[in-house]
Amino acid sequence: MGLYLRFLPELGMLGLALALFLVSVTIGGESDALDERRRDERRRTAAYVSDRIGLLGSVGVLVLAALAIWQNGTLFFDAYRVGLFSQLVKIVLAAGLVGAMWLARDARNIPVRDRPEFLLFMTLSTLGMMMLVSADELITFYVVLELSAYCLYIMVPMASGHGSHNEASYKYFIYGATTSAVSLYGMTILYGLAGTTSIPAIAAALGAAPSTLALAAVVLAITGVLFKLAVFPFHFWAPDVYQVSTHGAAAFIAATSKVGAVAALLRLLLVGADVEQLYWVLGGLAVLSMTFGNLAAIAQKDLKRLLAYSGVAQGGYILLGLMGQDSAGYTAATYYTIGYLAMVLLCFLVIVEVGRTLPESEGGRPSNVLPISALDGLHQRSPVLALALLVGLLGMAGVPPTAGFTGKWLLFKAAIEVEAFWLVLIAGINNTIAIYYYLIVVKAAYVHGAEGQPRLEPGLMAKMAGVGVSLAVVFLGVFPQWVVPALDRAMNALLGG
Amino acid sequence: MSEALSSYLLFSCAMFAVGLVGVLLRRNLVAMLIGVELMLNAVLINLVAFARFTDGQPGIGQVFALFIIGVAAAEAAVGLSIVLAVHKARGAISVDALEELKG
Amino acid sequence: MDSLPLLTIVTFLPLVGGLLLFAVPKGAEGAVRWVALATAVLGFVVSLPLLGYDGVAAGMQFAENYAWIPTWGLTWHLGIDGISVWLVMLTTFLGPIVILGAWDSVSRRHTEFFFHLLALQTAMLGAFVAQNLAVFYVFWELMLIPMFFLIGIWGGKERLYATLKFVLYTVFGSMLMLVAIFYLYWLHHEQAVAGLLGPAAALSPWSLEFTDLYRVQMGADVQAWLFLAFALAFAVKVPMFPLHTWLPDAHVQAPTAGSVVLAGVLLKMGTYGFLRLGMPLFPAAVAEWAWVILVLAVVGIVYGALVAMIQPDMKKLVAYSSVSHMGYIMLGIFVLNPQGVEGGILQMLNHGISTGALFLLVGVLYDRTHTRRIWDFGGLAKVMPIYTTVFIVVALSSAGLPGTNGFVGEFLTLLGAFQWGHEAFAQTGSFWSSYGYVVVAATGVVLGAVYLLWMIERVFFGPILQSRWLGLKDLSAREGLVFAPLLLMIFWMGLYPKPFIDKMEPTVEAWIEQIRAGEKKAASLPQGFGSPANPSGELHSRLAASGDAQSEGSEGGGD
Repeated sequence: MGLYLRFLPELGMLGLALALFLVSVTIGGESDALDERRRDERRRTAAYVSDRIGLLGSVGVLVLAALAIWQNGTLFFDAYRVGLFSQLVKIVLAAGLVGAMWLARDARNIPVRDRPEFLLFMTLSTLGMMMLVSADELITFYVVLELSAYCLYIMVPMASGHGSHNEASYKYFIYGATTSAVSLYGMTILYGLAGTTSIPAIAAALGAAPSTLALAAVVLAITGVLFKLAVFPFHFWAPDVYQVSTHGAAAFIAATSKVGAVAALLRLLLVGADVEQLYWVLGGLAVLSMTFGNLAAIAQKDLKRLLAYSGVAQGGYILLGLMGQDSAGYTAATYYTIGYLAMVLLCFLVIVEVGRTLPESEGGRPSNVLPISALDGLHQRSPVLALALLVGLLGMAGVPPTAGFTGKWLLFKAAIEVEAFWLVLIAGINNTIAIYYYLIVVKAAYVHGAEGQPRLEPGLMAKMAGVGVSLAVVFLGVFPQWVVPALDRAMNALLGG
Repeated sequence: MSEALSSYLLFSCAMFAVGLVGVLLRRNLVAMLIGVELMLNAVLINLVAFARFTDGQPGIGQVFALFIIGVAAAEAAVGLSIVLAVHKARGAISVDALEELKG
Repeated sequence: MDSLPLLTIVTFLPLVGGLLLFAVPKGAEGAVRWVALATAVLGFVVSLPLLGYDGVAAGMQFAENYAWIPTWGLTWHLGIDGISVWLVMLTTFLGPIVILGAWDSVSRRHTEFFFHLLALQTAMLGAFVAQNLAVFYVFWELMLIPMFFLIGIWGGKERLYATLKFVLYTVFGSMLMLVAIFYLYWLHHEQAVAGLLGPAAALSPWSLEFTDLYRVQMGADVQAWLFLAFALAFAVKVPMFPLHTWLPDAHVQAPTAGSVVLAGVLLKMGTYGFLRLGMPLFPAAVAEWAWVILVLAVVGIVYGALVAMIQPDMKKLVAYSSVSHMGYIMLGIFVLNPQGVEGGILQMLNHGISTGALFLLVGVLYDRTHTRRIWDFGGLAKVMPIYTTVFIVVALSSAGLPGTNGFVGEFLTLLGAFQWGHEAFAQTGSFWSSYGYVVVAATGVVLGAVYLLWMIERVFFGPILQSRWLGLKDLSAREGLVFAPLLLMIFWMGLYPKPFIDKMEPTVEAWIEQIRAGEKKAASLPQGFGSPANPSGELHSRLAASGDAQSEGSEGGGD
């Protein structure tokens, strides 16, 4: 029984994936016996059913993940480690999946025929991330990393409408595959140095290994995850992918998969626990990422591209917490990522709702782009959505009293503790730049008038979600003590064992 | 490090570099895919060589290699299907056909 | 300690009232204004007990200290001393006046407008009463958001440029301050762990309490760098020459209410920051670099006055006069003697009242005529006698006419500067680096009188240039109600300033004492003490003790 309990969230995800798969092959299955009209009807039913199953099922997984929070131990011959850290992250991932499922519901940009599969891939990708967090062994790590990644590669071209989704998805796929090959190369060297693929055993062995080679191996090994986090110089896919994928898929990639990437990075960095030079590598990447992301974001006219570049910068902030490889920094990074998840979901809530009102383009098919000017006068068209956007953007800009402020506070504190004063200074200057472009978006929503803009009628659920998540972002920011001690314990356990 | 091992490693390193250069420089989508395959094969040689010449856990390198072969098959499938989609939409399989998005 | 958390109530009451505004049903703009006004009046009434501040006993009173996240040194610690009590009172006093002044001038989005005004008030009050650096910083940053909207939504034609310029200037300064805050935070931790700060601090090494941070030990050179970071943040807000360029833009574009709050209270945030943080935290840096601030202050005085003289726009004239007046405050504070500092603090209050009133007056005229150009007017005294009288009184108080509040502040400031010059002359023997400051500053008084009288003459006397001004209405009863309390304060503070000075005097003396003591203490420390390489006097004591050779981080230092 203990085994099943330890594997409960993943089992739930598997069950959900299976259910979605069954819907797609039974109700949505192609059958030559049906005429066109009947077939269309069945596809629509399949899409409707899978939307509901996906949403309810992911809520169910969230409950299962919460139930499994105190599980502890290993599975599958020590390849899979379950502890407070992994279980907490699984809860966050499940919550992220709920958010993404909800945003992707009734997505008009995905062909009805593909809807069940789209949700299936989303579920499988999240399953991969959940397992990634627990993977304590390189083979497991690699296989589940690819599981989560390939699902994402397929979700991007599933968008209909924008003609260039092929380019973005190929870019995303080919560079994803390349970085994962690079990361594999690093893993093989780690294996060669340590003679094992178990992460703790490698960490122990590396302590005594020649450190230049070990450093190179660790750096190579983490590139695959850095790619998922879209850290400079592995960021170039992000703007295109965000822009061309459907809003729901972009939300999933921007929010949920970032949580998975950060958690996976924490897990993988354990192999280099004693490699001190990582401090410089991660610090350097943090600086480049923050600076590049922020500067590139300024020029963006499309909200999703802007969020993509700002995500590159946010990845840099998160690296600030990782560079010290201590529990304070890891706690800060995870806390910030949780807050970031909520803030990105808020922004995408607005994107999805506003996106519904945009005129159809590209041969009658809905467009996936969302220019900032589409937000004009949002405060009049929907005060609730405008508020959600405001909280989300100000949170990312690090304005108190949001979780973004508290998270940056923790990150800076962690960086100062490892005496990275210059980095904090650079991060501070970067934040000034960031405030500029976030305010440009806020300006469109609050200062511009709503003349000529289509009406916006978010449903009750959308309003409630906007208010609820906004409150959560503020609550998390004002009372971090509700979350941080648990994270602290989780990180100590992670680093200690 | 035995001489045999280092020659294997050198070979795989060179192969990896060739693959990486291929991905980065070639304009043909299929050629880029082949570059990735080369990189993965270099990784496989690394693994098997390490498994043969170092005394770690027995068999683990070979097992890892088998897993990678499996994943590589999936990768080729996904990659080629996207290439196919590109070909359908544009009638060409060169990166130049795809320069629609601004960077 | 009072069991009632009075300061928390005073701070958050405006925000709560502001949120209540959204409960007012649509289409009832009148009700919105009344709720806002009631909130602001209530806020003032609630803050009145703070006047019970015991002036004889210096130090923090009405203190509240609740644990928030004690392990990180974050506490909800509020308190007021003889300096901040007056700034809090100024803020709550101006609150209802601003709202009453903006009664008719907002044409759209009333609810949000009054909400932002009230939220701004909460942020300013919070910054004045905070006794924990984290709390202070949170409120300091929060001030930006409502101000961004106030200028950005209800401002003039160039409002977006102005509001972004305002925000970016301020954020740039405060980000540097944030980094310095983190450095202090870390330094306190290092020194507390090393046992330099006594047994109590060693138990909770992470702290951001003002009183704890005042005790952090730093050599003069380390102080100078940190002082620079704090000073930039505050100097932008003051604003000091040459960082003042956002101010005229912001004022000209801001709606009247925004200008009044900006000039009345927000600018005081900068000088208050110097008083509360910049100077007591880094006394040795102040001793060494005060001359730079003094030079910039007197340059600002003269420059502001000269530029004000040539302004065709009344609002811009008042804005530049602000630059000049804020120069007096900086001069008074940095000469570091009781007269100067008290003069500076009084001048902060005076500037809030007089310049706030001037902006309101310009706003009144603008609402009626939709122009602010001085040469459009002339002879208004004939059609608007009451308005003219009020304007002249306020302008003269701003110019420092004896009998008004401006005189007391400027006189004390110049007296303090003179005394400082006297002492400096005895030491250096050089006239310009001692008495020079007071001489130049005094010319600013003359220039101030010149540009204000000039404006009065052009606008109110002579022939009426345009016939359309013939029908201008004089002050209404509501506007009278706005200006009556301001005039009362102008004369009260001008004729009987004793109660104000009495309450602040012990605090000011203790404050000067603290800075002098800190300066001596820092002088006994070696250079580089407190730098990243040498945080607590022993090189890498902590790292060496733990056997951790993580020394590479210490090279990327802050000095």
